[in-house]
Amino acid sequence: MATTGICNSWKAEVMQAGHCLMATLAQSGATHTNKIIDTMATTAGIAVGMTVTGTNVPASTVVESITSAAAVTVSNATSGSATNTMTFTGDALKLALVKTSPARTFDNTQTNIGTPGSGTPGAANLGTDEIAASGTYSSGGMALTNTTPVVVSGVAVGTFSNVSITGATISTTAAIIYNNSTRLGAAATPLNGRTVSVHDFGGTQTVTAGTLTLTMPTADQTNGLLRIS
Amino acid sequence: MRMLLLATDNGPHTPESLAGWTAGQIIDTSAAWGSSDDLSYNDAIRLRDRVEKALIAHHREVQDRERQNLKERGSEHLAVAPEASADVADALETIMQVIVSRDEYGAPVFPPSIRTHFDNPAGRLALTNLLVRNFHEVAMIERSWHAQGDPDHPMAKAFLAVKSDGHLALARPDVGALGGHEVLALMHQHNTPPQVASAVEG
Repeated sequence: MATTGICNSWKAEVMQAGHCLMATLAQSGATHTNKIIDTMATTAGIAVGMTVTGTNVPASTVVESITSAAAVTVSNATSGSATNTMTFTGDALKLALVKTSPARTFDNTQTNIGTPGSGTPGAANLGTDEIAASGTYSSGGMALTNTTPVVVSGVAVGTFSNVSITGATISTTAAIIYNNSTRLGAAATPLNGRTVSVHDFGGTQTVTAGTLTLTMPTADQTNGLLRIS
Repeated sequence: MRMLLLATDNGPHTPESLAGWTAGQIIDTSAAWGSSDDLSYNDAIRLRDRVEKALIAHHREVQDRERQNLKERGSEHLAVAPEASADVADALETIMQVIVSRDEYGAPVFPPSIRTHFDNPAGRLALTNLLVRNFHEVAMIERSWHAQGDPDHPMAKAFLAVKSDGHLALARPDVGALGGHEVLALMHQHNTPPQVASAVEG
C-alpha cells in the first residue's frame, strides 16, 4: 500500500529550480540562424530550461534566457531564417503504478523512482513494486500533460491532465508521480526520476483487457493534486 | 489530492460510464464556487443522477464520431485535432435544462438556489472547461485503442511513444520525424484543469 502525500524532497527541489511544471505552449517566433528567437507575441508562459521544438530548431534545444517580452535566447543556433510556430515544453512528468501487495509502503519520504521494474524497492527506487507492462502502460509509466500551476485563494496549485491506459490488464494500489527530466545534479545516479508525490488508491483497482482512466481532482485550494500553502 | 479512477473491462468506457464520470465531477467541481449551502447532499445526488442520464447521448455522440473518423481516415486521423466545441455547447445546454426542469405538475424539480449556483459566469466556465477536457479524453481513448490496433503505422507509433514518454520521445528519430510534433501538440490541447477562473490570483 501507500500513503498519499507530496514528497518531502520535492518541496526542497522546487526551491532549487529542480522542477518545471509549466504547460506546453505553442508560440510563433522568428529564427535567424543564431540563438535568438524574436518577434514573439509574448514570452509569457515560457521559463528558462523549457525544451523548444519546431522548424529550424535542432534537437535537445532549451530556453537559455528570456531577453524581452518578445524574445528568447536558446541553447543551440537555429538552422534557418523564418517565422514559424514553435513548441515550448516544461519537464516530462510521468506517473508509475504500484502493484498489489508491494514490498514497501510508499509515502512522502520517496526521493526517486530509480529503475522501475528492477531492483529492490526503497526510498530511491520503485523497483519490482511496479506493475508489469500491459496495454499502453510500459515500464516507467505514462507521460503526464502539465498544466501551469496557479494560485487559488492563497494556495499554489499544480495538476495534470487525466491519464488513460488502454488495452491493459492491471491491478494497482497506488501511483507515484515523478520528473523524468534532469534539472539537478546529484552525487548518485539516476539524475532524473525525482519523485513529486505518492497517491494511494484506497485498495486494489483492477481492469481486465480494458481502459483505466485516472482523473485528476479539481485544481482548487482544497482538492488540487499538488498544493503549497 | 485524491484521483478518481474509472475502470472498464474488455474495451473502452461505455457512454453510460463516461456520463456517470462527468456527472460526478460536475458535482465535485461545483463545490469550488458559490456557497456550499446552494447544494444540499440530497439535491446533489438527484442532480448527479439526472445529469448522468442526460449526458449519455452526448458522450455517445463524441465517441461514435471519433470511431467513424478513425474508421474512414485510419491512423492519419491521429494528427487531426479533436473538435468538440459544438458538443460542449450542446451538453452545457442539456445540463442547464436539467437544472431548470419541472415535474409533471409543473413544479421545479430543484430549488432555485441550484440554478443560481450553476447559471453564472464562474459556474458556466467551470462546466465548459470540464466538458472540454472530458470530451477530449473520450476522443483520445478512442485514438489510443486505434493506435494499439495499428502499431506499425508511423503516426500510431508516434502517438503511443508520446503517450508513454511525452516530449522526450521526440528525440527519437522515428517519433520526431513521423508525426510526433503534431501528436504532442494535440495531446497537450485542453490541458486546463477544472477550476474557477475568478478565484485564480496573479
